[in-house]
Formats: sequence, structure tokens, C-alpha cells
Amino acid sequence: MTLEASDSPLPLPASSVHELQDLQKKGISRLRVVSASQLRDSARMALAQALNEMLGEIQICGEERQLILDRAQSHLMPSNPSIDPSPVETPEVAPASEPVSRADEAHQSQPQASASKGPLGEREKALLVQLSRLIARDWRTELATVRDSQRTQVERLEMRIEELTLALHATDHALASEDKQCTAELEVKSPFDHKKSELLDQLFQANVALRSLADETAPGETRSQDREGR
Amino acid sequence: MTPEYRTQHNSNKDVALPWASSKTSILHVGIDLGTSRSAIASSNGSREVMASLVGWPKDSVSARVLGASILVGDAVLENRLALHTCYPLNAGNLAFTELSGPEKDASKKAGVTLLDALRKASNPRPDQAVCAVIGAPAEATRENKQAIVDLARDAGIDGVMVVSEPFAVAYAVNALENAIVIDIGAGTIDLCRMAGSLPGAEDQVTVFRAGNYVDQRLAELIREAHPQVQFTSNMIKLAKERFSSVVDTENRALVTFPVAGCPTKIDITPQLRSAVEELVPWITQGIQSLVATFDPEFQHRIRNKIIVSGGGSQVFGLQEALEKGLEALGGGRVTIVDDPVYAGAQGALKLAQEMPEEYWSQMRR
Repeated sequence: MTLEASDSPLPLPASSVHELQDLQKKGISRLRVVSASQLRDSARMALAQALNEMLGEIQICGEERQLILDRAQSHLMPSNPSIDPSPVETPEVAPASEPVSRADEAHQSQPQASASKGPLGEREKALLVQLSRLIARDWRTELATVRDSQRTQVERLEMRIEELTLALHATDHALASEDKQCTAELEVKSPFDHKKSELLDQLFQANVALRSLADETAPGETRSQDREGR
Repeated sequence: MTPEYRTQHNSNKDVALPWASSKTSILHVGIDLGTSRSAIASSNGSREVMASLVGWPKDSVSARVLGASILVGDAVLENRLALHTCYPLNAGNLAFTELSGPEKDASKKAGVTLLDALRKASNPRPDQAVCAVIGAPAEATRENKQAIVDLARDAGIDGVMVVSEPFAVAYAVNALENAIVIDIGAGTIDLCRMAGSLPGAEDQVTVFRAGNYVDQRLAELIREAHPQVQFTSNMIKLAKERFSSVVDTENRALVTFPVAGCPTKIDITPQLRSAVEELVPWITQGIQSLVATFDPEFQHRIRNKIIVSGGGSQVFGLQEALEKGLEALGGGRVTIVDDPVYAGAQGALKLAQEMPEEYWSQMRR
């Protein structure tokens, strides 16, 4: 297990990266992989939902609402193509804007342009601060939810691994005890087992002698009279 | 890197081997070199048993039909009518050591070919040096053991050690102490007393009446009972392997042999049982000689741990027949090994694997 690399596509503080082989060794055979883009999408969806709910609660005019939506969308939409080019579903955000007639649109176009260029009013600032806090809180909540969900699964798996490891240790211990008993019995029955290396050495020496004596075999000698290394 | 090749020093120029030092790893191999059949087991899991028989096409026509200049193993039996055949082993020993002239050369070449076929059956990789322990008859002559080493090296086996065949079986079944191991082959029955050390000459007995003797006696007995029946030694061998038994059973050994060209069913049960039973006294005599010369305090132990292996151990009722034969000696307990055909090769493989690598390095030089 290692700490998450800094170049990870989705840096999660206090998270960890597990080597797949390590997990397999621990008996984990199946994993659900949640991609970074899926996590982002989930977070965006949650954020858009929270934003809709908040805009429904506060009393603001259509222009301000649109301004907030535009600014929120600029944060929500993926601006960096290197991260994730997949489109973000924001239908919950877009329909929140009230239908605006062409006349109103023409009427509002000038102030909107000036509003986007000029400094924000106190109320707008307050709303944006409130929105920013809400966004931050929802992001954190969402991430914490995902992390908690993962942690729960990891903890469950780790508990299972721990149980299995304990069971394995118990089995090993039982087998080791049995082996010791068997070995002890064999030691009594067959002390020769301890002399295998000596036997192999004798066999080797016999074969070395066989090779070296081949040319020296006396004529007429046919039966093997050697004791093969004894 | 191109491997360095050398020419063999002996008269056989057919085999050129890559120099052992160009090989980076070892394949351990155990070989049971039998008179009738040979078995090989290797550390990569390969196992094979083949007839210890080599054949050359009789003429250019048969060479063309067979598509090979030399055949080895069971293919020789199948095509024996088109081949000059040669058993490289006779009564457990390499036959060429007792021959001279062209026959000697042919027999020697057959031995190299058989060992080469066994080596190939172990499926070594090009970078692997083949290090083999070869089981030889218990009373093989020193000359024969050396001949096995020479032929094995000519066949491309890089490191060779020779071991008594019953000792290899004892090593396989871990019966290295207070036991008698009997290897019933075609050419010999080898008995070996295991006393906790490498067996010497006095610990081993070879009976030169084995499977081939049974074939011979069976042919004689059938010829006496059914003079009109036509058969070959191979037909007798097949019938023996199919029906051999030393006990009275309801099963009859019915074979179809031609009589004046007409396939005829004949019952060879009494002849077969009689021929097989003739071996039992020879085996019990061998056991008796090994027991009688053993430490009196431990004689009862080896009598009660008699282990039988080899193709001949598959005779139905042999275990009971031997125990019955041992009753006159005070009784004994006989066990047939689980894998009699491969027990020798497996024991030789176990020896090869447990042999220290530096020993193999020396044997490969």
C-alpha cells in the first residue's frame, strides 16, 4: 500500500493506493472501479441539484439568477480538456432559469452586459459567498460520502482479510504442529532421513569412481564387486 | 550466441551435441532403462514409457513407407514387419558389451538411439542441460554401468549417474531402511536389501528369470497343449500382460490365435497361471537369501517390509502368492507400489533433483 501519487488524476487527501497484486494476495478477487470522471460527474450533479434548491429558496430577480447560474456553470463545466472532456449533465441547472421573453431579453441585455463587466453589488457578493460556501460544503459532503462509502467497503474487506488471515494462521499452526509430530514419529521410525545428504554423497562418489575406474577394469572382471561408495 | 558444437569421441558420428557449458539451467531426469520397456520422468512433469526397441527399415521401400531411417519405441512394434529390430538391452545389461563386429556397432547405435529418444521425451529446452540418474540392474557389471554412462553422453545427456534400479524404487517410496525392494522386469528380477546405507553387492540379488522367461515358458506350455496353434512372441507377451494371474479366478484367459490361418479362441488360463507361478519360488528364494544374511535382530523387520515394483508386479494375485511363499520363512508382508511402471523412474528423478548442484557440475565436465 502506498500514499496516493501526487500526479493522480483525482488527488484525494488521506487516501491510499493499493497494489492490485497485494489485494489479490489478500483474497480480493473482484473490485468495482469508479473512475475519476464518474466521481466528478456525481459531484457536479449533486452540486447542480443543491444550486437549484438554493435558488428556489432565495428571492432574487431573473437577472441575478441568470448571473449566478452563468458563474456557477463556468465553475461546473470542465474547462480543462486534459482532465475530462466528457460533457457534464447540467439539465437541473439550465431549466432553473425562468423563460425570458424577447422583449425582456432586449431590455435586460444592456444591464446584463454591464453587470458582467462591472463590479458586483454587495448583495451579489453576499450571494456568491453564500453560494461558494454551499458549493464547497456540497463538494466536501459528496467527496466525503464517496470516501466513506469506499472506506466502508475497504474496512469490510480488511476485516474479512483479517479473519481469513487469522484462520490461515490457525490452520498453519495446526499443520505445523502435525508436521512436528509426524517428523518426530519419522525420526523415531527412520533416522536415516537425516543422512540423505550423506547417501547422495556416497552415490556421487560411486559414480565418480565408476568413471575414473572405467579404463582400469581388469580383463575378465565382469561382476560388480564394488560397494558403490561404501 | 551460437552454441559451440563438438564431435563425439566414439565411433558413432550421428550425434553432435551443444557443449554443456552453453546451457544455463538444468533439467533433472530419472530413467528406468528396462530390457522390455523404458520409462522416463523429468522435473518439468514429462513422463513417458516406451518399448526398449529400435528398428531400421529393411530396404528402401520400407524406408520410403515409414518415412524414417530409424524408429524407436512402440512404433517399432507396430511396424516390425518392415524393420530390422534390435533390443539394446539383454537381461538388464546393454547387449553390445557382449557382442562383437557389426552386431556390436548396431546394438550400440540402438542403445544411443533409445537413450536419445528418452532424452527427447523429457522435453528439454535448448538452454537446459539434461542431468539424468539412470537405473541399472542390481547386479549390473561395472563395464555395463560405464557403458550406460558413455551411451547416455553420446545421446546428448549432459550429466549421468547410474544407480541400482531397486534402490531408485526404495528412494521413491522412502523405504531406505529395513526393507527389501523387488523390481520385477522383463529381463531380470532385482532384489535389494535396504539397511540405511547405499546397498553393496551383498545387499543385492538379481534373478535372471523374469517377464521374458514367463513368455518363453508360456509359449512352450501352449505349444504342448495346442500344437496346432500359431503365435508369435509378441502375441504371447500381449496375452500375458492382459491376463496374467497367479490365483484361481472365474475369469478365463481366452485368446484368439490362428489355427491353420483360421482365428480360433483358445483357453490358455492353466498355461498362463503355471508360467507365472514359476517365478514365485525364485523370488522367495531371493528374499530368503537376503533375509538370512541380514542381522538376526532385524530380520523380522525386512521380512515385513517387502516392496514390489516393475511391470511384473501387476500380475494379479502376486502379493498373496509371495506372502504364501514366505510362510515357510516365518511369514512376511508384501506391498505393491502404487505406480509400478514409473516407480523406478520417479525414484531416479527424486535422486537427480536432490543431488547437490555442484555434484552435477562435476558430472557434466
